[in-house]
Amino acid sequence: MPVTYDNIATQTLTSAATSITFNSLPTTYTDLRIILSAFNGGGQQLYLRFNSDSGNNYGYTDMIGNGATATADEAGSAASFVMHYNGLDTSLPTLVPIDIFAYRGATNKTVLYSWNADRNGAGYIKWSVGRWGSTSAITSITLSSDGNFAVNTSATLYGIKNA
Amino acid sequence: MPSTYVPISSTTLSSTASIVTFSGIPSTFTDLVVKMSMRDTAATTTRNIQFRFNSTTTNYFQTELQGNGSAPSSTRRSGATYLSSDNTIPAGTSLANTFNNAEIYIPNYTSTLNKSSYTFAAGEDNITTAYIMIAANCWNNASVINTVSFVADGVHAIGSSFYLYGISKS
Repeated sequence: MPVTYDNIATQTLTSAATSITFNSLPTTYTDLRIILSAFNGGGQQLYLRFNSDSGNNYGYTDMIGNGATATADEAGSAASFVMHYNGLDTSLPTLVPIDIFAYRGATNKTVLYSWNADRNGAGYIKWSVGRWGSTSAITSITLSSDGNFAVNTSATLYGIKNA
Repeated sequence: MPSTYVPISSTTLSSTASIVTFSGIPSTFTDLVVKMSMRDTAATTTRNIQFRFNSTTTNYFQTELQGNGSAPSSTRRSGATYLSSDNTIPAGTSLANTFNNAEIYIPNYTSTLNKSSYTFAAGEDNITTAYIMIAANCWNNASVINTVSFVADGVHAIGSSFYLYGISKS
């Protein structure tokens, strides 16, 4: 049986950084998965872009829970996927798994991601589906903050094969 | 390139059990994944998934988002004695031979920081109200996770299965 869940790259911050980028993605996989564990280092927001595209080509639909009520929202033409909900924390890691399907395909790209940010009596969970309106193969992925990601923030990119 | 999604241990129950434990988890991986297919024998329609790390009964926090087929809801658990997924296990009065599907993802389980994780769980039995849930979990503890225990809300049913995988960054 072939290996189907390969580590492509890992970045663990030893100093604060405004973004984490995976460049030159291999073309040997079918799908991609990112596991981000993020701390606030002076910036609270988190955005995701492909191929450095800053056009209004990102759409998403969210379900959000705050521990008391459930809501939903959506954006039809944003300049990035907006992943955060009420920001990162300095000591409690926020877990963000991101699944990117058929990243080499010639159709628009579908993404599933969640924002898991329990804050010990506060916090949010957000569950999202996103669409990047581009038929280009994804060759780079950028996670960025409005300030900094803190030390110990880690992001790992995995490649998944159909066979 | 090494294999990065490695089975560590699994259990499929041949008799009922009040607890299922993975202990002595090696520290050679980066993240852990547990996949479960569960049923409970309690005389009700649903029961909760309940799990702990290192047999510790303090400092578990959760924010949940849940759907039951008619209305979404969100709940919170603070300072609990375990992490939970409410109503996502088919129990004794639900359709026979029906089990749930659930996954727990635990990144950086060997770190000396607080531990975040998420749970995704769903149970559908075609008869009674069923539930799907995702939860953001936090265990306020800096210890390396070496044990994961599933404490039955009622009693784990025969056929319930639990698979523990290790995920490596390299």
